[in-house]
Amino acid sequence: MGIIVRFIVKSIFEKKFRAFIIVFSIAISAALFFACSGLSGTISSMYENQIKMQTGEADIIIQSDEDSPSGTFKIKSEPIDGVSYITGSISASGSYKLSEEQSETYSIKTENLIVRGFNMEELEKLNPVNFSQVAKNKDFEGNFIILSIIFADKYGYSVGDRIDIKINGRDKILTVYGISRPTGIFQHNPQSDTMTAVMPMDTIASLRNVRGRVQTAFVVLEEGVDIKSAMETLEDLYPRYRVSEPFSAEELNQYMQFIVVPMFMMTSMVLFISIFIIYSTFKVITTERLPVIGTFRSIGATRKMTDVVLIGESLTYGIIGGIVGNILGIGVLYLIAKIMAADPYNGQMNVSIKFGIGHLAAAFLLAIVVALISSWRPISKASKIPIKDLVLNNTEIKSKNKKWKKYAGIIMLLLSAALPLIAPKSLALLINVVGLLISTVAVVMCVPYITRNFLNLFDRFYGNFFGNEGILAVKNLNGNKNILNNISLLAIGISTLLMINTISSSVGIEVLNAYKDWNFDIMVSLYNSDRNTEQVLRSIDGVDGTYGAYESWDGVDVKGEKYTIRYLQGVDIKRYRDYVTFRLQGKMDADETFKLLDEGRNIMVANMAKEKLGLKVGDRLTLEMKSGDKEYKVIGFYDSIMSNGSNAVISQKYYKMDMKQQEISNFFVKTSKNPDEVLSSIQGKFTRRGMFGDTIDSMEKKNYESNNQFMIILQAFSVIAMLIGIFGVFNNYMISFMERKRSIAMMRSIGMSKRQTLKMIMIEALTGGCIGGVVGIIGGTLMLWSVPNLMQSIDIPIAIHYSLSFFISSLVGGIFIAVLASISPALKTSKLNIIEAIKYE
Amino acid sequence: MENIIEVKDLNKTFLLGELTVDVLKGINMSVKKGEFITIMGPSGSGKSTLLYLLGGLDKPTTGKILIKGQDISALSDEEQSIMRRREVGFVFQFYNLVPNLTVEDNVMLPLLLDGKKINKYRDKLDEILDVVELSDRKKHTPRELSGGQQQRVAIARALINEPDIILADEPTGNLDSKTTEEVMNLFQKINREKGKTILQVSHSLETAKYGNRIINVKDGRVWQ
Repeated sequence: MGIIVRFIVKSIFEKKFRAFIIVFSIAISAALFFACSGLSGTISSMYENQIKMQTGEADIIIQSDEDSPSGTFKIKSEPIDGVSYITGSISASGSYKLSEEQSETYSIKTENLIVRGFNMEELEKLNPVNFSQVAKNKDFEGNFIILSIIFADKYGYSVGDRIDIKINGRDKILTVYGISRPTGIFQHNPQSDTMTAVMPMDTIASLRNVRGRVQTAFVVLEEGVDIKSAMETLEDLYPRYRVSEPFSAEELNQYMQFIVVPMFMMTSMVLFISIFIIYSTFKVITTERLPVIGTFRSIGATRKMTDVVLIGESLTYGIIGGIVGNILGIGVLYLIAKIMAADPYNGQMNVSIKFGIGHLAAAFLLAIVVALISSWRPISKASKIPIKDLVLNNTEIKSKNKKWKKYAGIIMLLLSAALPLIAPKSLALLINVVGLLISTVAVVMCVPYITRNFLNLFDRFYGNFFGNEGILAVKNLNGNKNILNNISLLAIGISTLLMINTISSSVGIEVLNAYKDWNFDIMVSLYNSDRNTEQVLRSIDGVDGTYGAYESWDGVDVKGEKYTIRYLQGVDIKRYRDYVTFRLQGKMDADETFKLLDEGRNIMVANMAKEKLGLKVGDRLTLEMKSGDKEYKVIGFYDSIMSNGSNAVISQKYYKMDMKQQEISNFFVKTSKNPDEVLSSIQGKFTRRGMFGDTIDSMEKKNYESNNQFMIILQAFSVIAMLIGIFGVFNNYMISFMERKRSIAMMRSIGMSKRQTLKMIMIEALTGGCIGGVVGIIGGTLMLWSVPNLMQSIDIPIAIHYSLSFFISSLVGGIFIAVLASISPALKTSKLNIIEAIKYE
Repeated sequence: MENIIEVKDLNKTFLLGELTVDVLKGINMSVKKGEFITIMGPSGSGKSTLLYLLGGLDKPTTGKILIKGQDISALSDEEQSIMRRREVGFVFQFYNLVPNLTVEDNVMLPLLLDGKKINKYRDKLDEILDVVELSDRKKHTPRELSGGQQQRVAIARALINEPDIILADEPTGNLDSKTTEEVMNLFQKINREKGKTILQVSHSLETAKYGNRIINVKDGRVWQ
């Protein structure tokens, strides 16, 4: 047994490239699986940490919302079972006016601050301030302020200095109590324009005339207390306020599904390619080992012993691949976390990865299972060869003409095309994922037949095109399993890459189209806006027109359905379409339909929501609105991907009534001047009013970046799939060269020159690459067919925009890879020793 | 009769690691057109090496090989390949057929390599397959044929381009005695009826009887 093991170990080291490919395939599969399985927890933990920076050790938060009687409330003094303590905070907007010198340096006139009022003793318990400097022996009360180190360094303040800050419109002279490092509530968000400062709770409350009240209450529970039951108790005590957990893992997990599901899909593609490569490589390994196995068997080794050794070899690859995969996986997870940490909306999160022994064990197990499953069939086939045939070297494993494969492949192709159309909504996600995988398997199963048909076609004109070497190349390709494997590998890799690139570019186009629908340049949001605010806005130089939009991004539940309309607009039917291009579905007249909106509780619904709710014109929807349940009649549908297509439009009149909202949510601003300059003027005008504004170009850019961030990860996965495929193609060409050495030497012996040999091999590569590219395009198109349904099943509407350039580059890429991979075998072929290759069987 | 092959002071040295092995030492010989020669000798005597050198599969260390008066060792790879296609037909012990090509494709290979339109050679193919008695097997692949049949395909392939010389390296070494007889009768027929010059390497005196001259190679030298 020891000798056999030594033989196997030696054989592994002799074929280093082959061993590398197997280990690489296993390791990458395990790494991606590890990263996918650990991603949800990692991102959750990153978000949690981000939120905890602001909320400290609070388990529950109490805040006012739209239903609350006031923006502030009193913390009830009576003790509550299970609650350790409750502390509150109150915020105000602050503004620091820069000196002339500072203004010149930083090109701004004021620095905005969020000033949060805390009781220092309570804040130290809840979320301790990380002071770099602090006043000694002084109580934190009166006109003290704690600045962040970033602010203090920027404007040159230290403890004890006086600073002028306008708080809620009132000038205050404050004394610097401390300087905090940028952690906890002082954590700085590079993307944000606003820094945080802390003042004594009572001072802020006095400034806002709300002494004894808080804006937010932070509840810390005693150890072991059930959060849900504590929340119920608090909801009873604060019935008109929002009681929530600072961080909802459930919501985040739901969001993570959008990211993790496509990643798992890509991982399964990588897994599929890996299994394919390991399987074909193991076929070569077992074939090569047969004579030696025969020798061992003839001198007394049992079939079980030789099987165990081959399985042992596979297991060795699995173990090495599993270990390497886990190490790689940690790196991949960190990279993904780093990419996702740069959230264009919420700022940079601290990157930290979270995984457990379970994740490591699962990835390791997967590596071993992949190795064993992929190698099982070749090992079992070799095991069945009688000892006599092994000894006599009569070991050619004849493959039967498996016609069923062709029919099974065709049926699977049809099935994968039909599944997205017939999948019931409740099972849409599962069925579409299965459909996607089936289409990949189907394409691989059909590769021999597609190739044969292509070769029959090429056979007709290759002679004229490439001469007799072309005819020979076609003949060689017919039935060459290594070339078929290459075509399959290229096809899977190309189709995956094509699919992801097309989706990525489609998302880009959709985002662009969505923003193209907005025929204005700036969006401005101001606290307590009304028509007077709009008048002021219009008076600003550069503002050519404004539209006051009434809209809710909080979501309105549809009664009786598990569905929330995420974005509801109440539109002014006369002016809305001057600012937003509205694309009605079907042949409905836009003027007539908009007129209908004002004639009662009528609603127009975006297509995605229509699909989800199965609506038709005339249906009635009951919306759970602020003023109670309201029934709306569906009068039309339109194209929109805002809020992932979960949006609807009603009349402004009914919106104000039913949503109990008199303030304008946002202003759409048109300008013929530079939007950035106009936005700056608007900001200057409303400095004291806590405004948010952005240009449409900037919003589009952020949206694109946000999508792109995710697409980059998926593209990286597809590139890895392609990379493994390329390694597989290189390996197959080398195997093919070794297997064909004798045939090529024979051709050389009957008169084939080196030039002819090279030409023939290059034509073979060109043809294989070309077929691989075409099959990849077919496979990619088939996959893309199911993508809109798949994405719809996770509430992401996407229209696929096919790109000719992607198709062409897929084809060219396939040819390039095949030709590149064949260069080394071609050069080796030209140096082939004809006699050696011919003479020895 | 004119000499179709002439060998002058032929030497061939191989390097085995650091060891230099003189396989052929100063060989001089000539072959007349239409001869059927058997090259005999013990294992390692250099007889196969001599055959491969005559066929241009390897280059001599020193010396000359003239095929129809042309020194083949001075030819480029392209010219040597053309010579192998047109002037020489090879038959090997292990047949050396392309396993995934049909019988007719295997036979037509030298024509394809010579840039010829194979459709013009269908009649010729049928004629040669008749000679080797494989007309009914032309759509089969080598895997579906017996050893003797495979060797006959190899002979047909060697004949398709109508070379004047057939070089055979132990053509019956892998066959049973009955099939050996069939194959040797075929060689004899080709030699007598088509006037082809045949040089075969063999260990067997039985097969040598089908030819008309024996060349003995021993220790790298020719003993005629």
